[in-house]
Amino acid sequence: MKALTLSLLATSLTLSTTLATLSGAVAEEKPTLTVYTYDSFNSEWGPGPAIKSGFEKNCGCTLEFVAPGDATETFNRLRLEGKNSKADILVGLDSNLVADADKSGLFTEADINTDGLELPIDWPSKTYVPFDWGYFAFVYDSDKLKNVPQSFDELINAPDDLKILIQDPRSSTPGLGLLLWIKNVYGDQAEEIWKKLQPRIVTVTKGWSEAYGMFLEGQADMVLSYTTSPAYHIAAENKTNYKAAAFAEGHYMQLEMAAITKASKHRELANQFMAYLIGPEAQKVIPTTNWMYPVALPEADWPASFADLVKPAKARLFDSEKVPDLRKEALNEWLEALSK
Amino acid sequence: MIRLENLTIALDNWHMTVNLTVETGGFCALIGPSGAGKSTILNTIAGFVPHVPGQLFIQEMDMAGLEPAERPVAMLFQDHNLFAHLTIEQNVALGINASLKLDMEEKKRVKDALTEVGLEGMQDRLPRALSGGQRQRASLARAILRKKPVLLLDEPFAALGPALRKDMLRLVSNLAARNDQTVIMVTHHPEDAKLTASQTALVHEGRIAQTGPTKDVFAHPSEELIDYLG
Amino acid sequence: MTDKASRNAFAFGIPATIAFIIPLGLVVVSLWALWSVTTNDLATEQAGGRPLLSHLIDDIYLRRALTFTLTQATLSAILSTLLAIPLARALATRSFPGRSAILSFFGAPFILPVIVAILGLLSIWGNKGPVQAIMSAFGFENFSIYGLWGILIAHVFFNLPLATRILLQGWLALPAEQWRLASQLGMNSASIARYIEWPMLKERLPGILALVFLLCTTSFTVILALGGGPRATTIELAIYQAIRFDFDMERAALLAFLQIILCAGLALVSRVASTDFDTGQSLGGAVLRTDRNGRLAQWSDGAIIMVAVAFLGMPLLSAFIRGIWGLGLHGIDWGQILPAALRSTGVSLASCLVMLLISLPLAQLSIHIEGKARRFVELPGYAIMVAPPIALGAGLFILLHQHVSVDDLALPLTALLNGLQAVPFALILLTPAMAQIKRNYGMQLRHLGIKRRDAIRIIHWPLMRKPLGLSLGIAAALSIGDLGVIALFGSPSAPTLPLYLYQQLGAYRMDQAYGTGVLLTSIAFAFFVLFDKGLGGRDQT
Repeated sequence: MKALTLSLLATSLTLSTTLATLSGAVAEEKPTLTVYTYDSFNSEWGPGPAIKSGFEKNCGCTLEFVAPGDATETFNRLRLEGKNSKADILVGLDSNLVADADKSGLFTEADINTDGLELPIDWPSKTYVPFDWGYFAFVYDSDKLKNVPQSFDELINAPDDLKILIQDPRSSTPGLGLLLWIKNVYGDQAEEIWKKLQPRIVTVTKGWSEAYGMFLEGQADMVLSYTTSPAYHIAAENKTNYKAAAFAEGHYMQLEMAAITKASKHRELANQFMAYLIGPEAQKVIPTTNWMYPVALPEADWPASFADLVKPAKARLFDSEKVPDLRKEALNEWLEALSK
Repeated sequence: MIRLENLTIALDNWHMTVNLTVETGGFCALIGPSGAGKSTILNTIAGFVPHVPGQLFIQEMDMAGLEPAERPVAMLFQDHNLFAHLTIEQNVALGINASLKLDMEEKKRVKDALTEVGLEGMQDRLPRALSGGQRQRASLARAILRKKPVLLLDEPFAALGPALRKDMLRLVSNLAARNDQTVIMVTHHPEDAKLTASQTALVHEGRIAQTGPTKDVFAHPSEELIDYLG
Repeated sequence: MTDKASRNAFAFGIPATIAFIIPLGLVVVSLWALWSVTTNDLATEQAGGRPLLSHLIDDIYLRRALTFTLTQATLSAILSTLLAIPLARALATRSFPGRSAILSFFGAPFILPVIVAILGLLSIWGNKGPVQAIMSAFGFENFSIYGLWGILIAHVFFNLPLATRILLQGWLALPAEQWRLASQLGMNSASIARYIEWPMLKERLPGILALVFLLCTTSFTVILALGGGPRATTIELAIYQAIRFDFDMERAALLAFLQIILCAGLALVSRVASTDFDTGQSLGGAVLRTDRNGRLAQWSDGAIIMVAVAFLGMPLLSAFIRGIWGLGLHGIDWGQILPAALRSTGVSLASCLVMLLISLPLAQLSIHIEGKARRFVELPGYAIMVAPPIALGAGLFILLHQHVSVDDLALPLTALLNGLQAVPFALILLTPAMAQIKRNYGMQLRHLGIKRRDAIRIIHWPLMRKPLGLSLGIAAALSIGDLGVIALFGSPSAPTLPLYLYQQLGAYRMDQAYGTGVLLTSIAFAFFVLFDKGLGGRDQT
């Protein structure tokens, strides 16, 4: 038994070293472009796989996606790694985090043409390039929920057994979106609204995937997601019962950006990738994989499932420079309201 | 000859000064009340008590600074003389070869020593498979194998019954006589001293209160000895 | 003249010094790093006219985290201990076939990866589990495993077996004469409880309470998986969130500093409150008492034992079944699992090495030092106990992350901290074994003049291999299943096995997560058995 123990230990040690050497050797052959992104972007049903194979066809490189968690966590991971990071590009930076991204000094301008972008707002930045956008919304199952709230007021005053799932604004961009949405609608009364919402919240998840998974398992009536989420169920599952609730107050917007890191050692490839991301091939993939609106695709080419989606009465968005202060204030209100 | 001259042993709040001479080939019994320091004297001779003022000679050789293993002494402790996880053969063999990689000649010597103490055929057993008396015989076999001129016995037979103890004492004194060993033995039993010891020393209140040939000591007991014997 | 030999045979002067300095040094350096960041913060805060103290008191979130830490730890400690009393009494009174199996099973939560146990608890107590179904049938719809309740359930799951084992020893240690006397005097259960059992409990309960309290204060994985919302965040988790969510190093430092001070205080209290329990004591045999022979007493004891076994066993069984099912459904993604398992193995073996390098010399040192200085030797073990790995990791990270890439830092840091965490356990096992060798054979070894190499081969190794094997087994299993520092800094593209499982959990890929859980548990137990039985060998006395 002693001999067995020792030989097993020896084998596992040898194996791990061999494996480490092997993976090192493979990496040398082709340049690897490392892209940090959030987890659902790179899931098997997300845009990641299609973009990887599409881009690798012509770049003569290997594209590696690294997904540390939800979008905020991903951005923070990059901040944690700082100038030592192996990331060349960050994909999925929320418009609300742009000011923080600027402050971090980690990103640099992309050398690409962004004239063709069609966005609901002006976006002059060359560093943070939007690749899709959408509106936050509560999604529900119309087979199960009949009296659907049509505004925050109605949500607050709905029957007690209406439960919702939301994400933590500190780790997740939809969570942050809702935080700013409520702040944007209610201003100084936001804290009151959170206090009233609090009994309805089943749980605050760390990320979007977890909350959406729990919603699909039937653990709540509504989940914080996007107005575009139902398109997935229409297109992929032929289910029309999942719908986004249109709120009278209007919906908060999200622009998702990509940016090249200063530390990138493959600047050329990185620019190439950015161009690809807003180019026709990737833009065609995004609506049916990331389930967000494309930035550079004529509306005629949008998938059919996008046709009947909720169109918000009003698009809400804070000026990105104002976000850090507002976020801090709103977060404290949120913490105070929800920790009671 | 073993000579202890003004050997001063000091522990936390206790000290003793010892003067004692044991002739070569002699058998000296140390008797006295519990806690008088009998075992401490043996430990000092064997080299376990550090930094002792005074002098200790064994066969005119100064023992100062010598490690326990370097001293011409074999000792039997009160207990744990045998390593519980080693066989009797291995335990005895430690006396001649600490690496336990024995050659044929060494194996034979171990076997002979075991026969001498009456343990033939038991070499492969673990100590726990032996009786208390057999265990001490095995320890004795090792002590003899080491061929040291001095044998120190720290009440090794205290746990045995009276008859068995007498047997063991006879065995020790026979073996010691055959090998010309000088013996110092600590005991709680004055009759053990009368049975085997040529010399008896009474340890009392930090000194040797009385010593001399065993017969004389018991024939003319000092006040301390009378107190002790009761 | 004899000290030289003693040192040669046992202690290695330089390694002992290093082993002594490393844990203390790491804690001090880490505290210093945390403090320097905090005082920086303090200086800026003061410039804004807000001293640190008011800053602390004003911080609702921090205050909330502190309160929640203490509340959940208090409740967990009280619940675990109170529930352990009837359970230990039932186990002490009844002897039945399978009793010893149950008692060994009570040791399992100790080496079971925490994250796997949580998976099991989720499947039983979670929103789709049987408990939830029963509760909603009775109209309790509001129960959720996420939050305080889930945390309490998980903490009781981990600590009830521990508390029960300690109390059971208390019952079995009561002298048989007392029971005979009680039955001769015809004492009823109430007077037995008052005159025989209560004095024993009074002696043991404070120590158990303190121990469970301390364990729950520093519990991380449970809170990470089941808590985390603003209502259920402990300081330990707040450190994690400050780094992962807010990228706020100042806040992380402040929290870590607070946590270390809190734990040091608690450890001090628990040291005063507790006497050392001999956990190696046999749990065989049952108490012979005549007051509990009635049908009712028998039934209630039986029911208590069955409920406890179900409470502890069901989650494990369910996690296992779902895991096997998950593996069958999705297979094993070797491309992901194998590298992750190898990383975990590497970390685990390295942490074993760290544990050995520190605890062996420390154990040696402690058996050679007598009197008051001995307390001093206990200091490194104590320092490890009070410095939670997340706080320590945060400090070391703040110190190093400017110079070394996080990706390169995560695994070594995890191995180092895992190894350190195992040191207190190892010392409990190794020190008495070493002390026994010295007590029994120390003089003999010097007398026979056995050289150090021979002594290690012939004496120390055969006698030490059992405690060594056990402590290596514990260290390996703890490290394999650890989701602490690695969750904080681990590279997402190069996860260890527990981190990989946690990623699956986060992505709500439950079936795969259960599958990974089975693999993780198998590896952890395999390592434990390999070390404990393979290295430890058969019984040596």
